[in-house]
Amino acid sequence: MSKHYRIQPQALAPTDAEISRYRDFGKLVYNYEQMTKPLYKRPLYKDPKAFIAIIIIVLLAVILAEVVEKGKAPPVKGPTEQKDP
Amino acid sequence: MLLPADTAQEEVWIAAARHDPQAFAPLYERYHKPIFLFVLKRVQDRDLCGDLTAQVFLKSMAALPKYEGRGLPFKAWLYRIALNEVLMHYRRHKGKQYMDVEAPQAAALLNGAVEVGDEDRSLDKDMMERLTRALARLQPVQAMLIELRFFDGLSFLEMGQVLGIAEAAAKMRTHRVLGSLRQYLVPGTGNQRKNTGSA
Repeated sequence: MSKHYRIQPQALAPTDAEISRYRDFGKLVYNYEQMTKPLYKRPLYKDPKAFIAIIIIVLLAVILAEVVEKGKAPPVKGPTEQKDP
Repeated sequence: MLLPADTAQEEVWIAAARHDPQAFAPLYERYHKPIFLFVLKRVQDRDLCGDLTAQVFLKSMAALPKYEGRGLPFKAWLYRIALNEVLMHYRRHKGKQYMDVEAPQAAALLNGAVEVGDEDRSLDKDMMERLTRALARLQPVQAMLIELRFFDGLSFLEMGQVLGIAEAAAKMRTHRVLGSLRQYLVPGTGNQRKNTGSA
C-alpha cells in the first residue's frame, strides 16, 4: 500500500490546550484495570451460591442422561435381518 | 535527547509503575504530547489520533512488566509501539495512508537530498509536487527512514532504537534513501554524489 504525502505550507501542530483535551490519565488507568482484572475475584467453586448452582447443573445433566438411556428400547432384529442357516 | 539524570529518574518511575498503575502518571505526562504528535502526522484525524495514542499507552502499561531497558530507551520503545499501532490501524481499515509534512520539514529534506548546484532548491509548488511524488515512490521501509529522520526529527541513534537496527546502519540506509530520492528529484544524479542529510 503506497503512502501519500501532503506538504502543508502552514504549521499543523495543535496547541497544548488542544492536545490536553485528549490527555486523561484517570481513563487510562480505568481501562488498564478493566483490561487486566480477572473475570472473577475468587474461583466459582469457592462462592457458595455458585457452587450450589454448579452442583444442581451437574445433577440435572446426570439425571437427564439416565432418563434418556432408560427411554431407549433395546434394538430388535427385523425379519429381513433373520437368515436361514 | 534525555539527560542522564532524566534517564535515571525515568528508570525509577518505570520500576514504580511496574507494580502500581498510578505511578505511570509522570511517564504519561512526559510522553503524551510527543506520541500524540507522532501519531497525528500519520492519521490526521484528531479524535482517531487521541484513541490510538490512548491505545499506545494502554499497551505500554500492560507490557511494562516485560520491558527491559537494555539498550532500548523508554521513549524509543513507546515510538515503536506507536508505529505498530498506526500500521495495525491501516491494516484493519485498508484505507489510503496519508502523512502530513510541514513545509520547513520538506525543505530540510530537500536540502538533504539535493545538493547545491543540482537544482533550485526553493520549495515552490512544482518542487512540492515532485517531492511528494518522489516520496510516494519509495519502498515502505525507505519511507520510514525518511519520516523518522526528517519529519519526526529523531537522531540516527533513536531511529536505530525504534527500528531495531544499529545507529550506523540507520545512518547508512538513510543516506542510500536520500540518494534514491535525489535520483527521482533530479534525474541523472544518484548515490555517487555526496549526501548532505547526515546532520
